[in-house]
Parts: sequence; C-alpha cells; structure tokens
Amino acid sequence: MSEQNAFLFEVAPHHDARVPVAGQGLSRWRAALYLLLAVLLSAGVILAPLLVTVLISFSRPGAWSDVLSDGQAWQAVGNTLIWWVLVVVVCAVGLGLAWLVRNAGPALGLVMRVILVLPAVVSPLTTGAIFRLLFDTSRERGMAAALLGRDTAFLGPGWIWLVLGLAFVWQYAGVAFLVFHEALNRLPSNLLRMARAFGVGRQRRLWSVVLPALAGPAALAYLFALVAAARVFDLVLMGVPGATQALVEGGGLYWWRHNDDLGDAGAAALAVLMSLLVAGLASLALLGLRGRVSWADPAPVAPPPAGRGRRLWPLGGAVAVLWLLPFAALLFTSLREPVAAARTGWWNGEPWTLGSYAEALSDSAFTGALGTTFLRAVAVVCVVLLASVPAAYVLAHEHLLPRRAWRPVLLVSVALAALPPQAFAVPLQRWLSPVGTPLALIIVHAALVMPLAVLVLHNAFVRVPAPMLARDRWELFHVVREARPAVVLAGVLAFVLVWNDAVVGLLLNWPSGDHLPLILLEQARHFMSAASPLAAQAVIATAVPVLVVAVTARRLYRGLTRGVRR
Amino acid sequence: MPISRRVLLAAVPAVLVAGCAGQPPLRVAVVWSGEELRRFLRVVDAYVAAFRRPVSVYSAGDNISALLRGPAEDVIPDVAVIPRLGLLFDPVVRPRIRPRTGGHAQPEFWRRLVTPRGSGEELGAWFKIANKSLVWQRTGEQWAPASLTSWQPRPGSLAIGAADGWVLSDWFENVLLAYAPEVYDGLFPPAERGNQAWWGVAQVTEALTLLATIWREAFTHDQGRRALTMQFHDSILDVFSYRTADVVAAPDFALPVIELYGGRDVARHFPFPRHGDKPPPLVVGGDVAVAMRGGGQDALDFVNWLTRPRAAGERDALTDWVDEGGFLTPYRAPSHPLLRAPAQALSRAENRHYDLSDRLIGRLEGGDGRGLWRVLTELFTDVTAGTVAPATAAAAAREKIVEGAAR
Repeated sequence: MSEQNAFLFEVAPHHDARVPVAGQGLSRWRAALYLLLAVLLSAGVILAPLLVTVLISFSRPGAWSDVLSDGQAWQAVGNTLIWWVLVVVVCAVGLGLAWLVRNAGPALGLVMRVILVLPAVVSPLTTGAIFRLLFDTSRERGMAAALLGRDTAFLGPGWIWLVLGLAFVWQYAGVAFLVFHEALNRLPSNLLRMARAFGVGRQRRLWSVVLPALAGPAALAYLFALVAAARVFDLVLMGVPGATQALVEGGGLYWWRHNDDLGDAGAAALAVLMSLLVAGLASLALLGLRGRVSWADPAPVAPPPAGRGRRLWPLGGAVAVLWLLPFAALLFTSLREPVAAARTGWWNGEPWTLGSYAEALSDSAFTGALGTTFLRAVAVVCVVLLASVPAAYVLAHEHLLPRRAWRPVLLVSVALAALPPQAFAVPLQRWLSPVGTPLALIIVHAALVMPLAVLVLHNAFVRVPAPMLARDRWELFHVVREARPAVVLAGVLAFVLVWNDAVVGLLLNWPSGDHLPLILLEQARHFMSAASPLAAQAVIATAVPVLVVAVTARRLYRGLTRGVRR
Repeated sequence: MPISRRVLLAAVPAVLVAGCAGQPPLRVAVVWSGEELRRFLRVVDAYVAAFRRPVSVYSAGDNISALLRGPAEDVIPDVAVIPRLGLLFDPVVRPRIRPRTGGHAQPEFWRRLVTPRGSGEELGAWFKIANKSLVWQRTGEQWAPASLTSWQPRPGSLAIGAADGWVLSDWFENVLLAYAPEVYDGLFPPAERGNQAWWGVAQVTEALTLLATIWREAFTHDQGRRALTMQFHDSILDVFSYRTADVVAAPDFALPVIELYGGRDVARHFPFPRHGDKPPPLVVGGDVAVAMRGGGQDALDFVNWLTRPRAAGERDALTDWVDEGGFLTPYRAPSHPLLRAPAQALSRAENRHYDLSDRLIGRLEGGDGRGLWRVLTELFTDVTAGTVAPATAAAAAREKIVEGAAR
C-alpha cells in the first residue's frame, strides 16, 4: 500500500523458486505414522519415566533439601564438573592435533584418522583396565612407575585425575580430531583469500570466517564427549581401585551406589539435579548448532607446500606411538602366562602363551555372553533404524513440519541424547520388569541411541535432493539409498554403543549375566592377579567392534563428513 | 520343495513346545571370580552329572545385593551363595528366600546365625566358612606382638590392601573385638535383637584410635598413599613375592594365593594379637547358600546337596578344594597343616564372633565407596596419607558411623 492513498496497491512480483510439486507428498496422518515408533520409544522409555522421576522427587517433603545438604552428593556433583572440564580438554586436544596436521597431505591424514579414532570403539571398561595396568603402583608391574624407577601411587588420591584424564583424552580425542580435521579441510578458502586481499587483519579473519565455520563441528565433538562424560561409570568401576572411587565418582555412579540410602524421593531428586546439570552443559552445544549442522562443500584441495608434509611425519609418528601404546600393553599382557603377568609388567617378556585366550574361549559364560551380546546389539540396530529412518525422513523432507520447526526437535534430541540414564531408571525398572529382561534391555538401549541416530540421519537426508517430478511413494527408499553412508553410520553407532555398554545393564538392576562387559567387570575384584585373563577377554571383546568399524570404515567416514553417496 | 505358509505357521508352536521340553537350567548366583569360581564350577559339575539337571552359574560380584533386591523378578536366581549375612535379613530379600527344609543338621553356632530371631526356620545352609583373625609372615621370621598395644610396626613392614574395603573392615573388627568384646555382643547378640546405640559408646572411639595408631605407625605418607591403591592380592605379593613388607593380616583363604605367587612352605601365621589379658579376637565369616522362592523344590535340593557333610572317605571336587587350602567347611578338617588350627577354632572356640560388617544393612552396609567401608577408608587416608592425629580421626569416624546407624 502506498502512503498517499490507501486504495492504491502496488504490485510486487513474487518469485516462487521452489520445485514444482506434482504429487502432494504424504498426508499429515501418514507422516505422523512415520514418526510414531520414534516418538513412542522416546516418550515411553525416556520422557514419561523422567516425568515420573520428577514427581517422585516431590513426593516426600524435604527430599530436595536432604540432597542439597548432603556433602557427599555435592562432592559427586562437583566431580561431574571436573569431568566436564575433561570434555573441553578432549575437544581442545582434537582441535590442536587437527590444526597441526591440517595440510600434511592425504597419507598422513589417513594414518592419523585411523589411529586416533580406534580408541573410540573400545569400551570404557577396557579403557579403564588398560590405564590401570599402565599406571599400577608397583614399578614391577606399572609401566609409568617403571619409567620413574620408583613405586608411585598413580591410582591414589590426586594423581588419579591425571590417569582418568589421559584415559578419557585417549578414548575420545580421536572423534574430535576427525570432526575438526574435516572442518579445517573445508574452510571457505575463497572467502579467506578475499578477506586477505581486502586487508582484513588476522584476528578479524579468525573471528568472522574461521570460527563460524568451526562452530558446528565443535558443537558435535563437544556433544559427543559430553554424552560420554555424563555416563562415565564403567571407566571408574574398572579403572579405579575401590578406595579411591568415592573421590572421583560423578553423580551417576554416586546415585547408583546410594539410591537405597537416599530413599525413593531423595534418589529421584538427585537424578533430576544431575539431569538439569547435564542439560545445562549440553545446551552450550546449541550455540554451535544454531544453523543446521552441515558441511560446506569441500574446497579443491590445494597441494600442500612441499616439505611441510614431510616435516610433520616425526610428529605424526610420535602421536601414533603414544596412541597405540595402550593397545600394545593390553595385547602383550593378554599373551603372558597369568602368574607372571600378575607379578611383573609386560615388558619383561617371557613366558608367552595363548593360555588366557584358550581359557576365555572355553569358559561357557564368556562365550555365551559373546553370542547374546552380539544378538542383542544386532536387534537394537534393527529397532533403531526402523524407528529413526522414517522419523528423520519426515523431518528432513518437510512432510509434517516446516524447516523452522526443526529447531525445537533438535533441541529435544540433543537433550535426550545427553540425559543420564539414572534420570529414568527407577520408574523403568518397575514398568519393564514384567516384559522380561531380554526384550526390556533391547527397548531401553534402542531408546537411548535413537536421538543420536535421528541427528545423524537428518543431517544426511537434508542433503539428498528431492526428486524433481513427483514425491512418489518410493521416495523414502530413494532417500535411504542416496544417504546409505549415514544409515551405516547410525547402525554402527548403535551397535558399538550397545556392545560396549555396562551402564544400562547395571543401572536397571538387571545385572543379567549375559552381557559381555558385565562379565569383564567381574575380574576387577582381584585386578592385578586377573590381569592376563582379563586382558585376553578384553582383546576378544574389542576385536568385534573394531572389525565392524574396519569393514565399514569408508562409509562411516563418508557418513560422518557428507552423509550421502558420491 | 516349497513350504506353504500354513505348514510354516504350524511349525512354530511345535518348535516352541520342543524347546520347553528340556529342563531349564538351575540359575545359581555367586560372588566369586577367577580361580575360586573355577573351583566352584567343578563342584557343580558333579551335580550336573549325578542329576542330569543343567546348572548355569553366574558371578554377580558385589552386585549380588542389587540382583537379589532388584525389581525384575525374572532375573532373580534360583539359588544364591551370599557372602553377606545381613542380606538374608534384608526386608526386601528375606520374603524372597525359601526357608530350608530337610537336609543335614548344622552346628548350633552356625545354625543360629541363619535363623531369624523368634522363628524356627533356617534361611540357608553354610557352604564355606572363613577364619579372619590370622596374621601371615614368611617362614623363618619368628615375631609376634604380645599385645595390640605393643604392636608398633616399622614403617613399610606391614602390608594392607587398603583399596579393598573389606580388608580394612576386617582389621577394624579384629581390633574392636580384641579391645571391647561387649560392644560386639551388644550390637549383634547371639539370641536377641541387637542395639545400634552401642556404636555411641566410648570404647568404639578408643578401639578406632588404637586401630588408627597402628596404621599410622606402619606407613609413611607415601606408603599410605600406595597402600590405598593396593588390593588384597597385591598386599600378599608384597610379602611373599616382592618381599618389600614382612607381615600381612589376611583370612585363611590367603593360603592358595600365597602358594601360587610365593611357592610352597614359605608362609606361617599367628593369631591376631589380643589386647592385654582379654581373649584373643576370632572373627569368622562365610558364604551361605540360599534357595530363592522362584527356584522351587529343586533349588532347595541343590542347596542341601551342595552343603552336605562329606563322609569320612569321600572324595570329590569339594574335598580336594578343602585339602588344597583356601576353603573351610564346618564338617571337614583340612589336610593342610597350616590350616588345621584355624579350622578347629572355627568349630570349637568360645570367642567366635561373626563378621560385623557383613551383618550391617542400610546406610552402613559395606561396598566400594559406601557405608562402613568408606568410613574406614577415610580414617586410613587421614592418618596415613594425611596428617590427622589418630584420636581426632577416630572421633570423626565414630561420628560418621553413629550418623549412618541412626538413619
């Protein structure tokens, strides 16, 4: 409308540049059906029990004040914050390593990627065992003490944080490295060149170009490490001697030990407190996820300046040796005669034997657990994909919600992915005990992995161009075919998380003896004297996810970095 | 040949029925791992061979209490071998236990331990018992303190696996029983209800002070920190393999560990020192086999079979275990010369007292990082790695115990 005369209209051309829609896509009801399984799983297994937990926490007046005045509980919550610092350290180490090798050439990049990411596939339980072996007090057995030449209480008060920090960095820095490595390769170089040409200073370039480009990947790396830290449990149970555990346990482990003492309401209050804390810390990731997490298209790789790549090889070699050393320690320990392994460290060599492996494989409880855990993990992968593929498709292709509605969904997914299981364990126990343990465990695992899977798949599905002519009934299959790497990534993620999990089985008070990590955990009762059999079992347990990842490596990498074929 | 859908559907229930025809295995939960678990499996093999009933043994470790209290009825085992007597009387667990009927009669002292006050029924049968009042040293060393008050170990000469809370609680029980047996009897009298108010008496603080003094003498700050990272087996290695320490207080089942890592005939032991002219302490522990309600009569039969007294000339996996050491039962004398006296004391001595920490339930119940274990770990840390005076640390420890007992 013009200002002089309210009855004169101006014509403004409006360009509709969207794809001409021939079909109508899915009806609303059909689209809602696609979401049904995912919503049911999240709501039934996580949200509803969480709500009940909140209600329980208010069921007894004074429960909150009891928890808030409990010194031991606050110590555990404080420890959770120390773990959060370690999360930041993990991200920083990943970024630092990625920066160092950013133009080292493809060969070194590949070597670094493989070696650094391997530990992420190892279960935290095994990581705990490895680092407890390396840092044993006695100089006869602990490698670190042997290098110092005197007995040192690395696993005692104080030092233990260093050991746990190293273990945590070793395990998760690789994932951060991978994400940052890719992001640095895809920095918008044209923009940087232009900025340089126009005389924009180094600091301004960093602030206005580099940081925004790294924000998304940084958020992903942070979120991943945070989920690991929020569920730190088995690392402490296996890697820390009993007397020291109380000094380093986070809120989750404290809750598990003391939920009987705290009473229903007190335990619920502590779980809610933990959830609020983790949700608060996780929401920091949303700063980086403000846009959609997606990658700029790869810049044409400029050949690295000659000589620079070669100069980096010694550094790469040093990092590789450091990162492979824990694996070597575990492998050599598993190959030693058990009595010798309990007395002396693996560098003493002789006597080598395969006895511990023979013993593990002749132990019916162990082999049975191998089979059951494998079947359980496969079942969870199926459920997760069944639930998350249709959900991510509906969300990504705007069948039900416009794009802008994705933000709250993203927010909920991030929050769900980071929630500590303690927040909904108690109501779940009561509801699921009639279902029977095997099925209940599958359902719970699937619900826990699903938010991550939806995030990963959504990321990839958005990049699949919608077919030009019509949204026909086969569109979902077309999208899945195009985004195969992301589907593989989601599946492998689910498999590895279930295979390595010790938390859910313990927390839900179903220490059903058929889950592999729980069998390994038993050996912690007499840790040093069980060193060799434990190491052998851990090697076998680690081999499976490593194999899965090795077979799918190429697709996983594509899934992580692009999400779609080609 | 193509299979029609109808044939396939008809086959499904047939397969299910066939699967149910075989007996489901008897599920037995234990706490052992490693060598002890293997030994137990050998004992169970005889049952499988004799009765053609499959048995699946699952080691629940320290989580056995969570397992038996858990809400999921379907994972509660048919039989449990429990090292903590208190669990039998836990308000959640006790209704799930099927009281024992039939089988052999147990010795009076042991029978009373598993019988709730004012009831005639036994909740379980003793499978393995242990003598926890022994101190081990290398052969050739002839040294034993005359009294607790005169026990002032040189720094480094005493090995304690302080990473395991039960090691510390065994120490505490021995000192408390030597110093103030009346407190012990007041907390858990043999026949009537105990009174937790006994935690508040002055003798508890005095016993804790005595304990803290011995610990402080035995370690420099550095050694104290190291002891906190060592488990029970590590402390035995220190005395019998590395020879960096001279004595270690450990139960009778330390013997197979000593022989494995140190060799044969390298050890001798003496009873835990007495206090003044009071009787020497004798703390006993053990594992009770109980049948759970879900297991039916089979579970009871298994418990009775497992714990039955062996005839004089009978030989099986269990008697071998007894003979090789590390396993005592109320019904058979071990052949190992080192274990004869400790085993006799378990069945005869007047001063027997059952392990205190294994009877606690509620907030004082032991476990890594909780209950009495945590209190004693903090006491140990304060006086060895820290610089707190024994009397101060002991007073603080008693405060925590009283607070835990009250809630």
